[in-house]
Amino acid sequence: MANRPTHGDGYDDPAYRTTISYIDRSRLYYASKGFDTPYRWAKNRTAPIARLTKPLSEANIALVTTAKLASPPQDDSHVRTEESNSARQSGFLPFAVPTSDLPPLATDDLFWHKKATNTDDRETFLPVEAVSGLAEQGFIGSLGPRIYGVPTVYSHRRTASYADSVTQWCEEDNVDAVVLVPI
Amino acid sequence: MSLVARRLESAGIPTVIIGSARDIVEEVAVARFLFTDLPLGNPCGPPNDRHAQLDNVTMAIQMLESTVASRTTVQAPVRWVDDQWRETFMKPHDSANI
Repeated sequence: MANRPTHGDGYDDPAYRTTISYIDRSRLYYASKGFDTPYRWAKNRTAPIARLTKPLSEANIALVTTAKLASPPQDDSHVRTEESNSARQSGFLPFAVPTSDLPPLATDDLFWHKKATNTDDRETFLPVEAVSGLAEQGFIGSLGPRIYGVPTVYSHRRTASYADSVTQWCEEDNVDAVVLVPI
Repeated sequence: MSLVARRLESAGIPTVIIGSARDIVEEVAVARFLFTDLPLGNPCGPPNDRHAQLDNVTMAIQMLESTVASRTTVQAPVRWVDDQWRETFMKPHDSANI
């Protein structure tokens, strides 16, 4: 108890919350590096909600990941023209790849707890086997034919454009519901 | 990712997020959120723990049918092996954290 956390959380002390606030942590962390203007997260008081229109046992369910492709997509014609060349070169682009022939994914450039864990087990962040198994059991109708990728970019505008791409892909694939898994 | 979920919901496609950054997802505000209180990197469950991963994914998918109101968060019972990771992430002045 002698060394109280300076970053807002303290899992072992009832005077502090257990669950990490990533908003607080990132603001304090970057401030300690001299970045005085914190990132402004999107904030909403309400959220739209749609209803499943069929039983889960008949639903086609797609997965969305924030992992990137180990090799950037050859065809990036779906990406809006305002995307910068650096985004293309770094592979931080939205993608749709066949579920049955999933290319290698990369997570090294992403923001996760590299001291505490690893991402060697893909099922920890993209549960293809788990959802496929639920489809085989009849718990859901099917896993979507494509896996969608949306990179984490700190731009609401670019994320909105990526969201449009994912929505279009879901409509093309007759997706009934989506499970999104941010790493 | 939460902004993508909101866009899909607005287009009539129900969503659920499985994630470990509780405050970020809840501030953006989404329809359905399964919170797994684990280090960032393994939102579906600890590495090689197929049982926990399947439990979490099943719980999330069930929310697609069972959630009554928007902005519903369900906290999964999954736990990391210890709690040390909470102290070692993004400590101010730590140079080799992320």
